[in-house]
Order: sequence, then structure tokens, then C-alpha cells
Amino acid sequence: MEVEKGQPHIEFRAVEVSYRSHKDAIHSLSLQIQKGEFVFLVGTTGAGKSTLLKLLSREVNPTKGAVVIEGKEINRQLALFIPKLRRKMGIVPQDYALLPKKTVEENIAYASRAAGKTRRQTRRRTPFILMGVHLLHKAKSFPDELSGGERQRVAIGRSLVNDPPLILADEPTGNLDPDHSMEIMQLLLDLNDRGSTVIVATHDMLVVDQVPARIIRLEEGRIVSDSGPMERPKSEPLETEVIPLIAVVDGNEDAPSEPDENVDLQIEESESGGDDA
Amino acid sequence: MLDRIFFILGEAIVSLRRNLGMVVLSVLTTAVCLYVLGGLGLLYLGLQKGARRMTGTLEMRVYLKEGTTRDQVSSTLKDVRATRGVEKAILIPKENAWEKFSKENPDIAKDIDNPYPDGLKIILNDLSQGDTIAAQMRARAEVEPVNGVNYLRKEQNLLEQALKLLRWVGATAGGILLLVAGVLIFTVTRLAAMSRRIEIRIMRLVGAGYSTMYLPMVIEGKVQGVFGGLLAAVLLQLTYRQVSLVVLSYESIPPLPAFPAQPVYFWTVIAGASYGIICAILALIRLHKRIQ
Repeated sequence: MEVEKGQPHIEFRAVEVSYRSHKDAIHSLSLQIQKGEFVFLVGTTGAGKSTLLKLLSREVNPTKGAVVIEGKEINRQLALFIPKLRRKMGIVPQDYALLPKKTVEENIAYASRAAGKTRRQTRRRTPFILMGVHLLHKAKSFPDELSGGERQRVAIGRSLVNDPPLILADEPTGNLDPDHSMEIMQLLLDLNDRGSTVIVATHDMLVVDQVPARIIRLEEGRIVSDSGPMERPKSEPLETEVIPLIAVVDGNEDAPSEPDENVDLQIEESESGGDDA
Repeated sequence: MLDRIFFILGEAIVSLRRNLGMVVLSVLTTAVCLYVLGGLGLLYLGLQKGARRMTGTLEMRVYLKEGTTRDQVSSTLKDVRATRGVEKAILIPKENAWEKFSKENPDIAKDIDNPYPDGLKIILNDLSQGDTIAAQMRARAEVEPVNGVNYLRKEQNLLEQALKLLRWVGATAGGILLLVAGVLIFTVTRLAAMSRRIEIRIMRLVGAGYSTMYLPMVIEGKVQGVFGGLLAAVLLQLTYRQVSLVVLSYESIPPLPAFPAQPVYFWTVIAGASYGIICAILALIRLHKRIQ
């Protein structure tokens, strides 16, 4: 994926973060990430990987320094603007955060509706997202009928409801076996091929070693090594059965045709939920 | 816009259904609380009206000393009319009083001279001022020093005490019930937030607006309050009907006025809804702080 030059997509300027229980979670960290980069944040538990992602999603505010996305210092923005900020990023949590009583397509549709999309937009886009994460055949399945990899694909699909230019994935392969881990990586690479900046926090070195990407190693809140921005060729599918997401998103001839808007996918409004999750 | 409203309403309905038991409990408590408050309120208004009627009939009588001149009477009347708590003050000349007595008791009146002095009839508009006005009257030189001021002090004091007690009971019992209902609505909202924790997390992940996240729970609080208010109004109406029937069976007691349905329904529902919204917002402020 070609990395854009010029104004960085993301910039950390001498950022420091202290928690009550953990002083110096991030210690005077400066970093620039260009648009279109695929970045791995690696390190042991407590190194500061997740904190960096939380700084980007404004779950955490820096004690000192500035976090800048597309030229805007997000840590100075009012809390009122946090939802708008998050609509510009897709966040993939490690624990999937799926609604157990909703099917796969309802989970995606719910997120889409919650994000402010209309019923019509949701009905149109959900099948595409499901195709993109290769779960159209599992649209009517419930989360407990899916494997870990499939659940993580639903979580990735959900992160795409806003078509975000930035994807943040926190240990997306943390609960998966190597095969499923590579499936997830392939999906993230496909998103990066579409132009999204992808930042993955992981300690899964097996995965990191197989993906050509920028690797930033963290230790005790400091960057100890940075392989630097890397331009990589458009991803060849890794050794997985997964169809590249770009095929369905870009309207590739080989891609499945756009579903008829009138086809009833039976995406229901919020019915049941996560009460016994 | 309409689409968003439907989504938020749908979320509120899901939330209400999920905690139905607790919702019913808080609706019932709100209803009982508003019923007690409303009932006491109606009783208070009724007693106050009754007291006004009583003060109109239980007037104060003031007797003037023999030899009081017309100028003194006129000056006394002027002062009395300017006194706080006095609705009306009129002079009853001793001839008029005697004439009335003679008509009513001709056998007694035929053998004696007119014993009445000139008198004042004072009608109060503030029950609590009775003692003060009586003291002021007794202090005047032209008023008879012995039994010169007559008014139903005991009855008026009793009524005053009853109104005070009602105010106190209303404030205490109503306040406690209001607090209990508030805690229940607060708890139901927090329960709703807890049972919706995954939805809320998803909403935060995808950048849902605060209105999408919290409005369903505010609506939930409002619905509880509205139903509580409606139930309270229905109970009040039924109780009032029963009391009216009982009162009708006593010929000596005048019938109660018609139940003020429109204001009672309007105000109990408004009170319930406002209270539900306030409690839900308080719960959500806490939740929001924790999330932040």
C-alpha cells in the first residue's frame, strides 16, 4: 500500500500518560504515522500499546503532550466531539463485544443504526460488509454459533459501518489460533489496501513476522525500536481461504453483485440484546 | 430525523421490556407516592376551603362600652377594617341587636330592658390572625373589658392545627415516598444501563451520539413517571368517588364538589413525567462520569 507523504495522519507529540495505578504508562513519546500505513505496535503487557490506541480513540487523555489526527489536536477537543471523532475510526476490540441475542447481520445493522445510518442505508450496506468479512453465509447465525475467528470478523465488519479511514485493532488475534489469526490479518491488510491507515496492537510475533508492515516496539511506555514507514505492494492473499475485501468494495468484476435493495434481509430493529452477555 | 426517533424509541421499548419487573415496581411506587401527595393535597385544599367558609360564619363579636360615641365607633371601625386578617367589619347598633333578640325570644324580651351594648361583627379572612385581632380589640379603651370580645377561638385553633398537621404529614410522608420512588427510578435506569452495557459499548465504539446512547433511558424514566402519575390520578378519582358517596349518605354534611379531573390528571402526569426524567438524568450523569 502506498504511503502518502506530507501531513501525517496521526502524530503523538511528546505524549505522557500517567494512571493512578500506573505512573508513566506512556513516557514522553513522539511518533508520526502517515496516511495509508499499516503499523504494528508490539510489546509485552503494560508496554503501552493499548494506551496508545486509547489515546487515539479519546478513551484516555494525555497527561502531557498532544495527540493529533489529521492536523487536529484531539486531546483539546470537548468531550462533546468524541462521537464525531470515533466515527472517523473503526475500533476492533479484543473481546469482540458482540450482542449474543442478535444474529451476525443484526449485530452489524445495530452498530450501523447506532452510528446514525438510516434503516435504508443500513439495509443496503450490511450485506456488503458481511461479504467483505466473508460472513454472508453466516448472516443468520448467532455469535455463539461462530468460531473465534468468525466472531472477530464480525467485530471487524462492525468497525466498518462508518467506512473509516483509520482502523484501530487491539490484540485482534489474541484469542485465535494461527490459522484464524492470519485470516484476520488478511482482512486488515485488505482494508489497508483500500487506503485505510491500520494500527494493530499485538504481542503475537508469529503474525507480525508474516506481515510486511511498520513495526513499533514499545517497552515501559517508550518506543525502543521503529522500523519506519514502509511501502508494501498490494497484499497478495496470505495463506488463507479469505477473499480480499477489496474485491467486494471496489466493485471488482469477480466480486459478488450488489444485492437487490428490495431483498428482505430481515434486519430487525433492536430486538433483544446483550442482557445476558 | 424520523428514522432516528424510531430507533431511539425502539431502544427505549427494548430497555423497558428487559427490566419489566423493576419498571412495574417503580411505576407502582411513583403512583402510591403521587396518590398520597395528591390525596393530601386535595384534603388540604378542601379543609382550607372549609376553613374559609367557617371563618365567614364563625365571626368575631366585639361589644363596646356604654356611652361610646358615634365618632369613637366610626374610628374603631376604620381601624379594624385596616387590620390584617379582617375581611369585613360592620357595626351592629344595640337597637338592632335587641330587635332581633326580641323577635326570636318574645317571652324573655317583654319583661326586660335592652341589655345589649353597641357591637361590631368582624369576619376574618385569615384564620391564624384570630388571636392577634382579639388581643388588639381587648386593648382598645372603648371595648368592654369583661367578655367584650367573643369568638370561637378553640374551633379556629383546632382547624389551624389540622391544616398545620396536614402540611407536615404531606411534607414528611410525601417526601419519603417521593424519595423512595426516586431511588427506584434511579435504580431502574442504572439497571437498564447495566443490562445495555454491550450496546452502550458498541455505541461508543462506532461513535454513536450521546442522545442515541442516553435518550432511550431518559424516555424509560419518563414513561415510568407518566404511568405512575396516571395510575395515581385514577386511584385519586376512585377514592374521591367513594368518599363522595359516603358524604352523600350524611344529610348534615354538604356534598363534596365534583372531582377536579382535568387538573388532577394533568398535574399528576406532569409531576410523574418530570420526576421520572430528573431521576433518570441523575442516574445517567453518574453513568456518564464513570464511562468517561
